[in-house]
Amino acid sequence: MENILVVENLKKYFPIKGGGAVKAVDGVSFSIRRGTAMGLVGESGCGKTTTGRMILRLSGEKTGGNVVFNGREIYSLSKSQLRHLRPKMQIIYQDPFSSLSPRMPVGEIITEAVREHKLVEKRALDGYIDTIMERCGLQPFHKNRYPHEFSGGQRQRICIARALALKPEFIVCDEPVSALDVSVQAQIINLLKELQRQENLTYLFISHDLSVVEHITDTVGVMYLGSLVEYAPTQKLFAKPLHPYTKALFSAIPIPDPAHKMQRVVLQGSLPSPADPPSGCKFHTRCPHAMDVCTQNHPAWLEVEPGHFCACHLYCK
Amino acid sequence: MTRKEQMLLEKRRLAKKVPQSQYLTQMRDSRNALEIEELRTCFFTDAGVVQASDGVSFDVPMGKTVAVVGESGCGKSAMGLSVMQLLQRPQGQVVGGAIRLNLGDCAYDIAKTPENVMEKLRGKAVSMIFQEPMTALNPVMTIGKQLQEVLELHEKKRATKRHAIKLLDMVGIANGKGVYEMYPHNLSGGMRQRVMIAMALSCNPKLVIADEPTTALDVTVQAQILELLKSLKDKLGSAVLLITHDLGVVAEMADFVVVMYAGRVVEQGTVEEIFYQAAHPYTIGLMKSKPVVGRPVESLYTIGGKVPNPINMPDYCYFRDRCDTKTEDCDGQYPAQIQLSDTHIVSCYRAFPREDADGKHSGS
Repeated sequence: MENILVVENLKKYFPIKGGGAVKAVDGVSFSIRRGTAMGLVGESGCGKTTTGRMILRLSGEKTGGNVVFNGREIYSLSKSQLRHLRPKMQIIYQDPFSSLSPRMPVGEIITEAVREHKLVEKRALDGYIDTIMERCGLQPFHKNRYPHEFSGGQRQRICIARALALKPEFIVCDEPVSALDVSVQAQIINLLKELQRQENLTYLFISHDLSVVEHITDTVGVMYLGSLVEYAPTQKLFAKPLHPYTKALFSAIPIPDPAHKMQRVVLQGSLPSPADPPSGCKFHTRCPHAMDVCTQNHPAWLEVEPGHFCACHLYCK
Repeated sequence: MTRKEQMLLEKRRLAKKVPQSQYLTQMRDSRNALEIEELRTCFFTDAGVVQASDGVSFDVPMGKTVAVVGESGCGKSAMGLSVMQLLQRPQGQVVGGAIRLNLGDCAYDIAKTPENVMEKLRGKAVSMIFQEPMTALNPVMTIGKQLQEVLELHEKKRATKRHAIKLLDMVGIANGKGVYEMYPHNLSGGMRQRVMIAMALSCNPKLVIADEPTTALDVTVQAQILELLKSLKDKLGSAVLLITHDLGVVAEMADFVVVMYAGRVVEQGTVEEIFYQAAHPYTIGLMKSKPVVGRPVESLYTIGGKVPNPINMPDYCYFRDRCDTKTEDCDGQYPAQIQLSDTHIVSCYRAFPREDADGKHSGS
């Protein structure tokens, strides 16, 4: 399987009035193989959403690095070239309440982009939209309704249908189930998994819910303050997290089992400001294992075990 | 029920001179901090009357944590707001039942307490931690002032700055002096929730209602806040009514669990009973549909269908149309509550003793 997406040392700084910059994404590198799902986890403000948007070139120009999608650097494409590429890479947003136009009927929401990109012949368009809606668990008679008439789960199905209608190869799912109830969450997760199998889709799955990430992804990257601190196949990462931040993150998840009383590493304090990140290892201010070297040197990105990458001085030899 | 009734209820609530005998009552069990009995909360809307709580009964023992779980729209928040008498008025009204709050030397029936008396209880005997720390704090008032306001209303004429800073210390805010002068927008979500907790606990209430206290927070911050709530609860001896949809949080915090569905309690019991011997198909479905770290499954269980329309509730079991295990009995009227043990109560025809003697279904 070839890599559908390669991200190399991607950087995005947002300038602050009066000097300085928020380093939202600060040197992130990873690659995703076709037909797999990669998870991106971390606390809010760690830059995972910005990374997702940067990959789709939705967040203005990059500050540095490369995003290579299907062998082409997307930041070097002209406007019209990018437009041709757009249907291939789609995004599903977190909040299905604000990501659908309240004044457009659902059928139009799903059809609009398909028509614009001329993906389907005019005559076949209606039938095509019907099949897409059906596959996402919507009824064709929903077409003339407006988003406000739907529940949160149904709206998320509309968002998925809208993305799927463009026959994408790659979808960024930015917290697609965070706003939904548990039972609806399960339906949407199952739908996303099923569609992936049928269409050989590739997902970048951004979430802070680790149990959902474990369920749906093949590989996971853990982000902290704009950088990846650990990257590994999902099973490996959940079986044996290496980075102290990953460990703390995992131990913070409440397990739905009353016999499982917490032996947790409670992180002190909160995320430092990304405008002025700590020197050396960015995590050293909250790390239970912080050493002298951590405050001075940035830890190298090492392959500690085959396929398991980690940036921590504990594993530097 | 009509608009006329709504106006009547509203009038009674705003009445000025109500004799104490109207709202003072006796606890059924003096070890309970709160007893809710057959609570009925209605919203009178243009489209019809919505029964947000439809005969909800359960107890909150002193010093214990009772978790109320259910999906959005099941009436768990409306139930919490009923206890605080903070329902959106005049549409939202408690129309029946009793909410008995134990103050040690006396007990109030909140369902009958008029507004001017409620003002003295709210924040002192019973207080609430809201879900959104972003919107629950006043954006144009310093943290210190907001904290002192509660104290001035309930405790002394002039609350001192020292007292407010002590409260901030108590909830683990290291820089209490600095935070005292700050505005809510200067603080992170976790810090704001700590301030909310400090405000809620400032008068040592008998009961704290925490409505989704960690839903808006990151997991690492959630862990901090849960630890804080646990330690403070033990220190102050308050009972906690925890409203949440996160089963992980329930397993960690709660002593007792109440499962609500469409305005009714479908199952209640100790946390072990609910997690290991769940009897109601809704509870079982809820547990199965949540992915658990370290327990991979190919595809998640889903509860089919959707919640019935709250304006025209069916007269049979509300869960029947979504239930995998329904029997012919389920066509009958809404199932009565069955006592499976001293603490474990379920409303389901499958749990009726004549069907299967042990009344157990596999939980996972």
